Amino acid sequence: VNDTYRVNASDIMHETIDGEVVIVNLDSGAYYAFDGSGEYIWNRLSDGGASAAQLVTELASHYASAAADIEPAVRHFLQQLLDEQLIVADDNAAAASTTAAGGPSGVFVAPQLNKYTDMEALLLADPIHEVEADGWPNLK
Amino acid sequence: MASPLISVIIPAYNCAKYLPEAIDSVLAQDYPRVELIVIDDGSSDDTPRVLAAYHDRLTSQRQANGGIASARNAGYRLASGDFIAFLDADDVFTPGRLRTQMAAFDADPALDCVQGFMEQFISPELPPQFGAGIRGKAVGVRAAPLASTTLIRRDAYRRVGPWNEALNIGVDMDWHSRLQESGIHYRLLQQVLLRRRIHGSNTNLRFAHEQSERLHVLKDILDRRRKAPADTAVNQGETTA
Repeated sequence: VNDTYRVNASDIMHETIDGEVVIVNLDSGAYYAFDGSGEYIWNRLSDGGASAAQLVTELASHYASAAADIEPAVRHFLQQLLDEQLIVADDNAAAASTTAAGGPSGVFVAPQLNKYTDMEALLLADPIHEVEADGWPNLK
Repeated sequence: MASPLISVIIPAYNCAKYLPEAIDSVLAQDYPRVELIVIDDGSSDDTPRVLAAYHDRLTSQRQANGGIASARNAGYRLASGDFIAFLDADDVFTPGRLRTQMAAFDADPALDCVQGFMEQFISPELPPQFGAGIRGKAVGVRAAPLASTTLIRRDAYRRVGPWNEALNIGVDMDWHSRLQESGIHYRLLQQVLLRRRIHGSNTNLRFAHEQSERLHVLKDILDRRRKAPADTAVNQGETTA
């Protein structure tokens, strides 16, 4: 297992709106937003995919921090995304290396997933067509 | 004392095929005082002829096409009821539904708004496999805090405010989020109040490529609630049998 993940495009909708990522899980009706470095990690996962090790290396390099300080928060965050079925493990996901140049500045802030269920009934109420594996038109 | 008057508002756009069933389901309600208002939102089909056949049993008004929110708002401007209800032109009230909702108001005078469950069905002229391409459960019973199950006191409706005419598929979600924030007392009855038809031109199927509008409504909700004072409660309502 090389620990590589990509977004679960066929079961979610997501879009960056006014600089903030908003995600809907189409099966559960929950929606999500991020705090801290969550958005950076999400953008890496939605841009072809990334491994946990890569994300840790990139963030450690960007923030000139020790990988050991960052890794637990990143792994916890990835597990949350998996538990909420917003991402899937995919060893074939393109894991292109990148520098975190576009990432957030300042000091490392642990990624946080905020989950909201107050619109669940409405998000589940409307019939929508199944989509192919490449997902909804996920506009950036 | 006379029963309070209920205004039922149906926005109709090119739905002549299903509109009679919607109208009949309102006219057949056993609640004694119902005023039915249908807004023809610039239909190019037989909708005017359908409405003409019912001219003595409802109020209708035709407008240039403005979308479902605009048509519901136009209907409200004509409404004189103490309570307001909505029904989409392709859907059907269940028998006795308004009486059931009014009984909930009678039992709890503090209530402002009562919504309920719906049963989705594949329109009978379509093959049953029509539902195969629809995500999740195409048919069956589920919670439906939508316009078409809503019965709300007029003063509470005014506090929530009009349907957002800039929106299309996100209209009900936007309105419901403002209902949650309005501080009004509302309840979801675990009873089927609505039969919702799944057919070839459901707005939400037709505009599948516009699902992104829902994400924009959610972003607005997040922004609004983060800006609100910390003691502003988001009222999730309650669900009762």
